[in-house]
Amino acid sequence: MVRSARELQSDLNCIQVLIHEDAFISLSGEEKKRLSEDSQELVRKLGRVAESSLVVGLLGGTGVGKSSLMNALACSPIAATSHRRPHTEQVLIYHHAAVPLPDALNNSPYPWREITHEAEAVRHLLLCDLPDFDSLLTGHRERVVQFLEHLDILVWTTTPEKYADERFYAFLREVPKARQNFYFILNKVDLLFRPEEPETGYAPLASLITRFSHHLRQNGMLEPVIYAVSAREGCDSKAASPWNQFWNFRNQIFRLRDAREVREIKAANLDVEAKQLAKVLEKEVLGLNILHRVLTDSAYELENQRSEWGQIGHAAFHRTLERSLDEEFEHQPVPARALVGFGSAIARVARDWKRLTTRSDEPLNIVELLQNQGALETQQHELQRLENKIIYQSMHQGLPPSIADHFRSFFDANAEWSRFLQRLQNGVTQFLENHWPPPFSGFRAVQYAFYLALLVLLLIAISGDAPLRNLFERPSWFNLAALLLALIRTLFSPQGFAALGSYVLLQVFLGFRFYGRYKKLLQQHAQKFIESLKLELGMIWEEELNILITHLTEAAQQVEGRIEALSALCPSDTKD
Amino acid sequence: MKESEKALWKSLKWPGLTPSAVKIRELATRIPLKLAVLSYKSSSHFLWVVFIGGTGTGKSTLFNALVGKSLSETGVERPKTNGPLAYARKNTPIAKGFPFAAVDVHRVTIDQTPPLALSGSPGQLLVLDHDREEFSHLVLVDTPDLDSLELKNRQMVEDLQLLADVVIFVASQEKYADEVPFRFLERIHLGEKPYFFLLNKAEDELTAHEVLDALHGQGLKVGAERFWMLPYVPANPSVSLSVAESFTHFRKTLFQLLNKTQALHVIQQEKTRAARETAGEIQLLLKLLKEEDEAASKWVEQLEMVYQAACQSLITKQEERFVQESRAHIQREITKHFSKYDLLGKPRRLISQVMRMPLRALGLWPAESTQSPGNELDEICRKADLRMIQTAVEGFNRLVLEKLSPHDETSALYRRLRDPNLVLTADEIRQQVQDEQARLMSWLAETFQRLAEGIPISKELGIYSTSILWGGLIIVLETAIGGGIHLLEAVLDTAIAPFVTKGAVDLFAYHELQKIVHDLGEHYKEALTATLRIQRERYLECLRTLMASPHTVKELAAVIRRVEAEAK
Repeated sequence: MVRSARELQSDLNCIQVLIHEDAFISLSGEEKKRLSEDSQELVRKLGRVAESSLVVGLLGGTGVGKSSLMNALACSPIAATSHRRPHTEQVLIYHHAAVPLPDALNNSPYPWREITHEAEAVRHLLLCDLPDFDSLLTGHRERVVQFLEHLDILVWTTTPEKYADERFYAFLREVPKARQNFYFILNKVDLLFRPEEPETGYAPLASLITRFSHHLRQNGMLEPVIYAVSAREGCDSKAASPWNQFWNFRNQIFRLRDAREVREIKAANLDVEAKQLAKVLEKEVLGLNILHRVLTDSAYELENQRSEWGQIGHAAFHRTLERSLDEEFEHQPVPARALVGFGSAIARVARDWKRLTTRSDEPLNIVELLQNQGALETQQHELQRLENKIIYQSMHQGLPPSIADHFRSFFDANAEWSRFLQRLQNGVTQFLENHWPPPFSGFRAVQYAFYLALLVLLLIAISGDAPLRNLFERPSWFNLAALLLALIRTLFSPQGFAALGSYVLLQVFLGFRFYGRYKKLLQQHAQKFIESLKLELGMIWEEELNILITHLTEAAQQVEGRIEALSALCPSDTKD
Repeated sequence: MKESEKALWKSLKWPGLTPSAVKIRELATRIPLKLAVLSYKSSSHFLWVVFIGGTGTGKSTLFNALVGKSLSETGVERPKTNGPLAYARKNTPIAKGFPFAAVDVHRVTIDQTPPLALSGSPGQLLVLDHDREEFSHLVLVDTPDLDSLELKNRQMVEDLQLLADVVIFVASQEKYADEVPFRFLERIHLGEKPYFFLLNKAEDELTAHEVLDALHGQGLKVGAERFWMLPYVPANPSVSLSVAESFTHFRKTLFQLLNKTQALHVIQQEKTRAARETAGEIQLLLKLLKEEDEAASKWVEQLEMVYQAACQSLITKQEERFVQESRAHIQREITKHFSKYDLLGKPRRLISQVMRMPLRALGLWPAESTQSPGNELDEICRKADLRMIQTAVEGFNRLVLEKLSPHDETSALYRRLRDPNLVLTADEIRQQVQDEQARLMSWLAETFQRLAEGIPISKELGIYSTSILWGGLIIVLETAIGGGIHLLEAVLDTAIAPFVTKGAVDLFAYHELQKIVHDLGEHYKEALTATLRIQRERYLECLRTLMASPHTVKELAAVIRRVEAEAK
């Protein structure tokens, strides 16, 4: 199977793009260079082939509408009757401005004139308007026949009026070209169809065509191909009348054009060269297959390691979190009003002291801490291991060392690692916000109760027996005032001083006790917190496995896509 | 060729590190053949004339014309000759010691039967016996096509070319500039083997000058005296050729050169030439092997670098942290062992208990944690983590393939490096790491055991004397400053004394700690890298098995000497 120039061209462009992106994994630098050069060379050759045109000659008597036929072919007015000056015996060659004329034409003895146009539809058609043969002088006729050697196909045009002219058949007999390249156009058949009664036209058209083909057979055409058209209806297929075969004709011309292109490609051995290029690509496909296999195997292996993977993470978090986090929590600012009274003062002093001595005033960063403690090293190693394993396997199965660089575009352990850290950081921050600091409300209530009791005791102690009893027995404003007076009086006596001193001492004692208690509580909370943090971290790590598997599967799919693309570029020989 | 020499060539190895490894392989297959041919020719005394040329150039036609008989089948189908035909006198001992094992020598006597054209068969040298005196010293050989599609035929031509004393190279007008025959001719020319260049089927307008110039243009200077042009004869070429003037001239020249007296000289000359050439090739082989050797030592250096890098990445952080973490534990252990030399330990503990009491009452002194030492010991050893080492080994393997594998897929080292048995398997690594852990553990246990058994008497005395010295110093100081010891001072001293002895013990314990921690670090490093080391050894071993041994090199040199001696 030979692909058309357009297909080949697009394939080669694909190759060029791939080379440009340096996407070939299994080719050495030299091979890449050669592939690039070869494909460029092929593109150039292909360009030449693609620019070579199908040369169509239009023959016909005067007034058969060759110009309008050409315009209809081109879908744009490239030819005008004004191009042909009367009685000048010239071949008019209509060609696209960007497509050069074949060299052979330049040597043609017959006078010709080129007319350029910009109609893309007929870019690859060289339309030669030959002089009307009924006005040809006999001497010229031979030279016209000579000119016909440049033509790939001949389109004999006539009309219902002229199709039986002797000149037409006389000339037909003179032309020595291969008859299968002849096409006969019966133009202006619209004359047979009256717009008000279109059905009536078919019968005369049928008999006309039978007649015409009979004449042609008589003159040596065994299987004449006749198209009944009306070029005047233009190139709009929708507006065409049902009997108009112009579109069939046009399609046939373009099919011939493609067929010619394929022939040229074959003749230039371009398909062979393209196949050789494909050989290199086959190697690449082989390499990609290896990579694909390694990637899917790795993904599969990861899937199987799920439980082990979870254990690794858990063990690593377990080892370090336990040991290091306790202390870290002590550095944390005292949770608001967890301690009251003297206890909070102690806590503040203790904290400031610690700050002063350790100079660490940074907020708790668990991820950083974990990193410093080496808790994440195992995990990082796991990622590195994965990368190593994949690259090792690839090289082991025959891919070149440069696979390591290419692999980065699929999967990069370092980037993956920093993404994981980011995820970990986010997870931990979220977790801290939700679970820390712990509520110390019960503890605070206990403290208040103790301090209140102490205060009540103090008050009782310094208020004295009598006023208190009086107040309880006969509660009245007077007795309350008496109690207050007694209170104040005792306060400024040595007894009151002693009581106050004891009160303060007890306060201090309680403060220390509560501080100690607070630390213990904090530790307990931290313990719980760490337990659940471990679970949380473990979950993030397990989630990472899923992400990795997805990544690998995606990469494998990407490779698969490339394999498919490349396989399409190198058609297997079996198709040939 | 002796058996030992054959074994030598069979066992020749090279890792394939240099680009010239391909050349080595070529030499290693060609030289033994050449040696075999040399030894074959030293025992035979007939002259080989071999017709060589591309397909369809008319070798068989010329061969027939030369012997004057239609022996080799000719025709337009290509290739016509399937196997080589030799024309030799009856009883010429061709088969005796024939150097090519793959070629079967088969004899046919043709003289009694009417000559029947033969086309030979592949893999067989068909010897046509005759009894013509004028050809008695010659073996004329018609070969299959040089540029044939048949690989076997091409190999056969290569072999027979080695046997040839004189080559008759046949080309046609169409083919004389073709790649394959041209390269072949070039080789014969450069090898200085005597040859004749027959340009067959030459058309009238072609001149010798033209052809020679064209060849010269491609870098081959064929002397005019070796060049013969034979005309194109359309019908019955064997017969019409033999009467063509240029051919008769050629035949005359050829047989003049190869007459019986000259022939011996030619044989001798060819023998010397071949010996010289072979010696040169072995010389070249030795040089290339030496290059391989140098490349191999560079390879080993690079392997060492890769290994070091792998070790570094494994050790650096690990060791530091490991030592730090295990230090506390070891310190506790050591203090425990040393405390029995702290005579005043009990009173000191009592004093400190008393002093801590108020603080503990306030809840400010944390309770002492107690951990069983055995577990911690375990944990220390488990630090030589399996996965970490696996990672390191895998990284090492990757680097080796990435940096140290030759690019040529056919090279021996390339294949060997991808041998699945070369790298340590997961089980092997696990086993290895367990062993190392056990070793580390037993070392630690042993160290502590030694400590528990007691410290050397000198150290013990050192502790005591230091304690006494410090105590004495304090008393002396107090007496000197305060002018005698008061009751209060005596009480204070009693309280301080236990701490003085503790200080002395700690001082010695510190030394011990430093030493143990240092040793532990070393052992740990050792344990970490042991697996990597084993892997590296495997790589080194792998290269070693691929190297040519010095013994081989010596033997090759001996072969050169032998061949050179024969050349003289």
